[in-house]
Amino acid sequence: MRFAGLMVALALAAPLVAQPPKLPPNMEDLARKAKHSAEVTLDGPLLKLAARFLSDKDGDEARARKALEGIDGIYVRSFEFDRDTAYDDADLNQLRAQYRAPEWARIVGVRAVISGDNADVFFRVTANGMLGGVAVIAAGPRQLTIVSISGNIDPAHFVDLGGRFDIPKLDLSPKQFRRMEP
Amino acid sequence: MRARLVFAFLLAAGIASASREFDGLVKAIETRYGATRTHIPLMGIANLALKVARPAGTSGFHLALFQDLRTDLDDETQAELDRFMDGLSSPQLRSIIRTRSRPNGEAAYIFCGDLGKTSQVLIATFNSHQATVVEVYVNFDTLVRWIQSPDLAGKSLTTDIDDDR
Repeated sequence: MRFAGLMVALALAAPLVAQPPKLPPNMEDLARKAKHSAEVTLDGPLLKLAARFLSDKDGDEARARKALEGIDGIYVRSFEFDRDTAYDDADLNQLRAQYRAPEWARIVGVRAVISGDNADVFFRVTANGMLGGVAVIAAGPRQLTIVSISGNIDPAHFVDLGGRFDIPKLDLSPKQFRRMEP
Repeated sequence: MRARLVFAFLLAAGIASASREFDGLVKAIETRYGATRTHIPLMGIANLALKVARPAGTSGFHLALFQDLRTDLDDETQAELDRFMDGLSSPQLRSIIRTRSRPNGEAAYIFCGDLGKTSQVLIATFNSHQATVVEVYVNFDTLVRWIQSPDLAGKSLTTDIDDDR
């Protein structure tokens, strides 16, 4: 009985372990179709190693180093294509479906009909109110970037990771959200 | 007699065999792409010097250059290379970075493993007709100290040069 309980606990804990974003079967060979592609996988000891290369004295690096504390894994998959429709919307929806409620909450969803660009940001909030994971899916007709960060993430430090480890720079300053008058 | 033994030991240390992954990758490039490894003179001596001096925490390296790759890294070749590179990954040696650029026929793979005191870093770069495979054993604590203290690194290098004179 105790063993069965342990197995159930392990099974429940498994999704919380850092793991790279799982690409739907149709998207697994995207790297082969892409003009340029980059994959970054930093987790466990490798992430601690990456943190050691950031200075604890330099302002920006020190903040990024602080942001890395508590993070279990950073996974980036970035593809750039030389033609449209390298992947279809169904594949993209399948990718987004990995980050569904109640575990995940989509906090940003942008769709640009004319340009075809869209972006989604998903947060996983843990019981103690901290972020347990962040996922960003930015897709355009000719590019796709998936960023997945897992671990205990302090929202105040999260933005400091932008521009490092192939993570797009995130500008969430208030002026970015200023009201646009017609 | 003792001097000869010491010399033989140091020479053996200098030409110590590379890791299974390095050897496997070099052999795969030779057989799959019909390339011949470019001979680099005095590589064993350089490796020996590295083992003794350990600059920037580096305690050993292996290098293989190929300049006559019979491939333009077309889609099928690229897929085959990816599959082979996936096969190199293991819990001990993990892929951390993989980049590809199809128009230039370029690809780069970086693996890192055995993160104890000394780590193994395996880097493989390919372009249309060339490939380079480098394996380095490095103590990252020492390397980080070097990077974060340029003065110390500069002094150390200057001392090495002065010693050489």
